[in-house]
Amino acid sequence: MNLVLFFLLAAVAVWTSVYFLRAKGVSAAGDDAQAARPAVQSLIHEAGDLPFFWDAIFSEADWRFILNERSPLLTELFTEERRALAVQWLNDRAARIRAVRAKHLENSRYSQDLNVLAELKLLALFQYLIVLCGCMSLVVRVAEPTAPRKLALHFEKMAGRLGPGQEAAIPRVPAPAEELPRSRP
Amino acid sequence: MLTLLIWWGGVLLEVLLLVRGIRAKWMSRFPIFYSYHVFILLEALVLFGLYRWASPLYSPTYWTCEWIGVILGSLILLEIYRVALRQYPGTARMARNLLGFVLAMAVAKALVGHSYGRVWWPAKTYAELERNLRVVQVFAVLAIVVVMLVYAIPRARHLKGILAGYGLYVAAVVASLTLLTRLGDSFQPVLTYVQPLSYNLALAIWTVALWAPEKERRTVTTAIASEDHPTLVARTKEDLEHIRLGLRGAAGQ
Repeated sequence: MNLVLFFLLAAVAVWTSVYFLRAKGVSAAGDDAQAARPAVQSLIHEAGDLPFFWDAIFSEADWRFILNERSPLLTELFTEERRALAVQWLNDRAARIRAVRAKHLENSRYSQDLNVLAELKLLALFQYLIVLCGCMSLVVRVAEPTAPRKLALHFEKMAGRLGPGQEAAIPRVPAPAEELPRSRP
Repeated sequence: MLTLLIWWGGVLLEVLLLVRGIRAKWMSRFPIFYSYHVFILLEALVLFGLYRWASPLYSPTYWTCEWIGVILGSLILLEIYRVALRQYPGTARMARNLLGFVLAMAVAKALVGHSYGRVWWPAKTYAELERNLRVVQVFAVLAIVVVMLVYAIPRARHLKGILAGYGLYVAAVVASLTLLTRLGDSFQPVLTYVQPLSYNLALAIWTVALWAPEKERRTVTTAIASEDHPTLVARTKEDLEHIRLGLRGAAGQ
């Protein structure tokens, strides 16, 4: 057992060293970071711009409506459309989380009073959310598009792990079902 | 003959690396790294002399030099930490904590092994002890690499070469010493080729990486950089909150 562990460790070290050697080095700090900052900022703040649009993605009501039509072709079309939308939405979420993480890491590099525990917790949360996006993406591909609804709700809860004061300050998004005109009979 | 060829190849690369370091005046930038190489060069020459003319002294001298080499190697890692993270106090603090964690784990493992009656550190043989010390070095290399990659620290050619070369060398030493402790003397002939070859590979990486000159980079500390960490964490959580607002819509009521 020990033998395997030591070899595994050596293999990880070799892989890491080769990766480190071959990876393109980040150019002078500040230049790249500053150039990339507006793009990152816009990527982060684009989030939530179309909540009503994305609301329908995991809607069970739509799914039930289509199923009631008893049309295999319609069901297939709906599934394909929702699957594509859901995958796109999840990729978008993951990209935004990565952008927030990159921005945070870029700034915390210079922090004089970095709290290691808070930093590790935040990094773990970022990683967890990205993995969750990956899992939901997988579920969407192999099951029906509304399947990861519970995961999405969990995601929502995890992404909003803030203090109670901040929680109260968030404006509620109105229920989209009441807002959006739907092409339903 | 082959052993001698590998040995002389190593000496040649060592001399090349040192001459280049002296001519380019990089010794002041990486004093421990170059001290290590001066030591290794002298060790190789002394051991060669002892092997030829005073063989009974070879083994104790070899192991004494090996321990000094391990200590100097650990200091190289500290030098990499110092040079790479000098301008990044936040990342430096994270790296310090990670390295402290690695050291604490190593000490805890040694104490636990000892309290259960097994001699883990110092180990049963010199080879096992060196292997265990090299394992700690591997973890230290991994900690520094992970921190540098995660925080996207600018990786200059020289630093990259030094760290990757040393990482490859200690990984090869861990693997070969593990086999030596498991297989015993039957592995000794193979070891006489594997270790010098892996060291020569590391030397080649160092020589290539440190051959070309490199400008020392200056960091632009941005306005946001002066923020304290709690403010930074709060700001990041705010950004996450924007993403959450999008999610709330998608997740439904």
